[in-house]
Amino acid sequence: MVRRSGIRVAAALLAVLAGTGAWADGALPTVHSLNLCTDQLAMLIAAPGQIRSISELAIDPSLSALAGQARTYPANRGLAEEVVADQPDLVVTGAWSARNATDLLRSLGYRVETFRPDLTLDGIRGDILRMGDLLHRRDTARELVAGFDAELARAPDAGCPAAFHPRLLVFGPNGVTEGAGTLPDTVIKAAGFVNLGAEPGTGGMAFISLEQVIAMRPDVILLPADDPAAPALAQKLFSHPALKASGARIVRGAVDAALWTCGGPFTARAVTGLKRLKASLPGCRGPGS
Amino acid sequence: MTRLAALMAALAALLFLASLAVGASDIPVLHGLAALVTGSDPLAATIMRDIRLPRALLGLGIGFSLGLGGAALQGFLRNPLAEPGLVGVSGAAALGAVAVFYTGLSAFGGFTVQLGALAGAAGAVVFLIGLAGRRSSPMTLVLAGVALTSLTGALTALALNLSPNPFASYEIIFWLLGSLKDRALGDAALALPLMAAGWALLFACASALDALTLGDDTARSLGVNLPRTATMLVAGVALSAGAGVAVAGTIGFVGLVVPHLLRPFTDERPSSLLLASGFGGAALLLAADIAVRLLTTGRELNVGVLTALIGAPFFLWLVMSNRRVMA
Amino acid sequence: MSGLVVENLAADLGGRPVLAGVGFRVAPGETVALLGPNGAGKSTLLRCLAGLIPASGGTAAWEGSGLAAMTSPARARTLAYLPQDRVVHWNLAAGAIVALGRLPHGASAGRLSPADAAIVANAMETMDVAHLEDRPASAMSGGELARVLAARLIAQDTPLVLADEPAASLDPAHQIRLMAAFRRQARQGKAVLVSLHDIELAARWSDRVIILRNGTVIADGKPDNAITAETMAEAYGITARIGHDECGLTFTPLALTGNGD
Repeated sequence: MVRRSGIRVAAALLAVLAGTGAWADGALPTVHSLNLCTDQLAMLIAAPGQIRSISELAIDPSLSALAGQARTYPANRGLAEEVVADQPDLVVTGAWSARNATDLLRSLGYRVETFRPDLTLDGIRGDILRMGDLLHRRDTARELVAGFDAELARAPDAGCPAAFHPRLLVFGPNGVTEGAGTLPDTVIKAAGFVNLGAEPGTGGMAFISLEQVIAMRPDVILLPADDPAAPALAQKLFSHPALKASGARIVRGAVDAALWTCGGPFTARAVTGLKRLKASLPGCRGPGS
Repeated sequence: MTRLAALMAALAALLFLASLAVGASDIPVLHGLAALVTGSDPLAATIMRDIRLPRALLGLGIGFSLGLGGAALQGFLRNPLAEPGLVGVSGAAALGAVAVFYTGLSAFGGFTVQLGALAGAAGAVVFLIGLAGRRSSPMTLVLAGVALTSLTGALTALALNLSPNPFASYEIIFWLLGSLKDRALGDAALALPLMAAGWALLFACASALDALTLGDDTARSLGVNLPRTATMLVAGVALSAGAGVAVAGTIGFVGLVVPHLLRPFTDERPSSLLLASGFGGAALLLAADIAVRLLTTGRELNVGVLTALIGAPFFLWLVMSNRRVMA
Repeated sequence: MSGLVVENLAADLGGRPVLAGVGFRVAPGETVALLGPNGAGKSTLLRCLAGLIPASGGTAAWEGSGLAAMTSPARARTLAYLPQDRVVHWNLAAGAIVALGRLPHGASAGRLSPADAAIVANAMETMDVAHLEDRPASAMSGGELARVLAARLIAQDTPLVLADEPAASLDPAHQIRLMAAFRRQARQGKAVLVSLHDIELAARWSDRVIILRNGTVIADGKPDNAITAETMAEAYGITARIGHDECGLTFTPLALTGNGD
């Protein structure tokens, strides 16, 4: 918890700065979010009426953990023009998304706060609190962090031996796996698995061939959920006979991709889901909760 | 001629074995081959049988189809620039396959995608023979091919963009610049019988192609039934090229490069080129497919990219050296 | 009925009648020259007989069998046809080109039986192209190519031989050699029908001359009977000096008749 202190200091500092802003009169600041991840944090933390607009990606259930809720807000396409027309007190967005819009809005005098993608559980805690401070909703943010930690503390895999670390490989569309340092890598490790995608030493997203998948001898291969209505070659690969012949446990859709696309309180549910999967493996036949 | 064909066959066989030996995981060559036959080491056997064998088989079959199809099309159209990819046949086959696959019609069975590709390929050959004509200049044929390739490419992109599956739009690259990566034995089992039927039809055209060397009139006076030959050729190219596109996307230029490289070593009769060009095409595609595995790690380069990198400059050179003919 | 019998033959090209009421015979052993001005229908007649364009009326039969009703392979064993265009699309050597003449007889041009090879060699000898056997088409002169293609015609070894302007662009020696070869074929029992522009050549080397004008036969007979001042004026619209020497008819065109159409 030591690393977290730095983020807290920064968040507190921002809160102080925010306190000196134009909206320090007690009314909650209105916010315009241009990024899928800030959309979700804002929706969880903001009071009714505070959110003026969120990005259109937020309503896509394959990306957003809050797709249903997102439909109740006006959607934007990440254009500066939309912000200017709306005149919000605050703009939140990703550090690497819509850079042109970010720079333009800053030059027009808007307050734009950028969030880096969450890669760690601590990073998630920090970003929840930072969003709480920006929206003047610190208590709500703290409750969310508490809930996040409580979910992480659940141990449906309590019956597993402590040294039981099955080898898991995420095999996504077109051979995309989750390399070291990604949020899914963090989640997989937090659930007590060895992430084989982090093994070849590639950082970030890595591409892996079917042959490498087999040669790595994974215990579990995690495939995305099937989409029978809209076929793509990406899915066709998942029915390749070599996967079945590998002897690994093939699991489709065990983790809703939206839970680890962006970091948020919901990411803890991905950890729990994987722990439950672990508990169901041979070598760990214990009482789950 | 038989010596050339035998030489190409030996080269293709050698590269077929090399293709089995190359992969992302380090399996000693002999150990892998032993596992392929006996199944001794289950892990190696899975990799050899389920991943590398279909890849090598498809490389062999698709390469043979492209080389043979190119030689046959060139002979029939008497046009050195005819090639399934270049004249738009492969692109139309890809469109047919895409139209079937992404709309979910493929749920009706594995052959439906193949049928879509065959229909596309056959449509393109009929279109080309109808529009460009059998006595057309190389320029007319290439222009018709460019138009057809652009149109089918655009329609393929449209179909992929309209698919509700988020990954479909990224798959345009596969259909336009094909790959043999991660195909299953089932894919090979679907494609190879169709290809073999196509090869049989194309070989049956051999004497007619020779006769056509002296022009349509002389060929007909030599007993060639032109409509029948055209039908067999259309069906043969559609079956062999279309079946390949359905499983591996569009792989260009093999059918252009190989007949050209081999023709000087034959007596120039179209029929003496067919078998040699088939094996030569197989050798070239297998070699290119080995190269993409050796050259690139991680995200593998599509083999269609490599054949285009080899073939496009070759094509340009061919156009330059044929400038007078093209005009 | 023996040989080629053509009766009342008519043919259209693009809806325009090109041949009408054409009738003649060519008996085995005969060399017949087909004369007439450009556009008279000589090529159309030969193409129609060869089955390349359909007749719109009348019949053409060989030894009593209608040519139009024959299958392509059967027709290819009955008649050989040499078109006016001298096309070789790939760079085949002379030997390979002539060997294509054996295709209708079930030979693969790649591997000839000794009998087929002998026929091919003989045809090349006849057309004086044996020395060109390995020369590729691109390295031949126009005349050499014409002779090689004529050798292909002879190698097809059919009882009926049709040739469209085979003598064009040949030097006089090779014109004579070509006509002598056709005559030799006829002596062996074949029927030869050959269209020509050179009236003297036709007169001296053929047994009979048929003159076409506007798609109909205006003269059919021995050269001396068919090539007259009247037929020349009618067919070509020219006056000519027609004489005789020890080898046969001599012909010198002099002037346009002036009222020719």
